[in-house]
Amino acid sequence: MTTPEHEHREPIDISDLAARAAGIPETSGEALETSPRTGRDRAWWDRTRADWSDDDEAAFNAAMAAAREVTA
Amino acid sequence: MTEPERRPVGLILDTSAITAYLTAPSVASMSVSEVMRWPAEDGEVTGLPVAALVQAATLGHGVAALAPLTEHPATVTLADDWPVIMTAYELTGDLGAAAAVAARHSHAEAGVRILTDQRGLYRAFPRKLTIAVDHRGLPPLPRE
Repeated sequence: MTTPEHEHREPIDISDLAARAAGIPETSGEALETSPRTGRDRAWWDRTRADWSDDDEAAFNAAMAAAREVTA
Repeated sequence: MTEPERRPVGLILDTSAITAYLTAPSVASMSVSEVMRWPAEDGEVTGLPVAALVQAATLGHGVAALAPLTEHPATVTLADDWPVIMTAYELTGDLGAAAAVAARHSHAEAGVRILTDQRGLYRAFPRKLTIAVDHRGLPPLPRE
């Protein structure tokens, strides 16, 4: 019994998918700057990345450290 | 011989986000690709934890179905030592989420988020660690 070769798939263009999600023609790159569907635009992404404090990182690391003691 | 260029990880997908991405065409898959676009614009890559890929594959998607994601130029596969994943598993109770947390811990800088459709798995961490897959808005697109 032979195993069929995996179907070759072209990589998905992320921009095209975002365009389809927003109902925007795929060739309209300029219109992709803001998604009317979710409001997740470039500014949202920048705010999200910036909204992480040293305290948040400390809490993340503390949780990992506590769990490490349990699994040690 | 020079080292291959390594781009920073700007986003991490867990199993649920990978699964959402693969259920195309759907609002969920569009939501994932929409978020992946922003780190790509900054020259960053989206991290795909190995264990999360395996979990997604075993959920019925198969290896070939994962290719559009794993072979995309804006993604990178991330592997971690099993004790790190085990540590994260203690906190999440889920292998895919644990793999995402381990990847965040080992491969990403502060501020990098995990995209997930199961935020409840990350209760042990600051809520801001995760970004939710967005299901709002348009109905699923018709299959081509």
